[in-house]
Amino acid sequence: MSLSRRALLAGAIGVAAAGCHRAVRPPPAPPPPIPDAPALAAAADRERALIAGYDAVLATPLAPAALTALAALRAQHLAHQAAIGVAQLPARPSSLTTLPALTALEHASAVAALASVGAAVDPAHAQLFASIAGSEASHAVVLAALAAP
Amino acid sequence: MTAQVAALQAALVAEAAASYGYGVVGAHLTGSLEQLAASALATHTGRADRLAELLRRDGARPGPVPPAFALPFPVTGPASALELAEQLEDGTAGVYYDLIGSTANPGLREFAAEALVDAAGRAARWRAATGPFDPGVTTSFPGREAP
Repeated sequence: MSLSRRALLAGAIGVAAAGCHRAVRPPPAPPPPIPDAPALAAAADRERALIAGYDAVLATPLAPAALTALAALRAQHLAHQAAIGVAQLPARPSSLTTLPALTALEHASAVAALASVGAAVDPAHAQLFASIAGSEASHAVVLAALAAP
Repeated sequence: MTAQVAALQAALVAEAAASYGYGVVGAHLTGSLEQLAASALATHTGRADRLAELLRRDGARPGPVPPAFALPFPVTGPASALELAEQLEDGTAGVYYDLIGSTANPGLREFAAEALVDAAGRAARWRAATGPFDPGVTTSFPGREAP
């Protein structure tokens, strides 16, 4: 009986030791940080805001030509989101309801993307931010033309 | 030759080609479109000068720029002039995209990015001038891809 207890005790110590052994094993190395993560997150956020803006304006009465144009531009923002490489989060509500407001948002987003180019660590991210800024500047041209009387 | 110098040199040639091309484009347009071509010509000429200066600052000698360029197709009227203008802007956007990727210099990247954005906006203006909206008026990634 006592032997059995001792055996049980030894076994328990063995298990505990094994547990301790596992506990002191160094944890796996964390994944390396993604270069430019804050700038990418900000870019993703801007794209979400733009997509939400397009959704809001598309929900208002529009001429067929404007509907076609806005749908095409919105699709390009989805492409931006995919290139930025973040999960496509659900669109958030937007209070935008007019083409001039959407034009202003495109302008602001282009300016912000442009501001991320110089400091990007990864040259490919610098190129991506510049190219997105160019796309958004061209969207602003189209939206301004659609809004013109 | 470093990648940065090669990209600066390529941008210089593209800007010189754009300046030459806009001379042809402007001759076939009138009114506000002719003014847009004149403004584009001034912008591209100014950027070519700036690129030559940047090359010299890098200790490089700006390479020879041809006095004339072969056009990709005959320009015979407003329609082909607008098409050439679109191609000129797409071409310059592409070289600036490459320039951004070739350098870690923030100031040079910003110069190139502003030029890329300018080219993308102007390309959209030219495409919009050709008629009603077409989804190809803008692209998702100017400079990176052919529209």
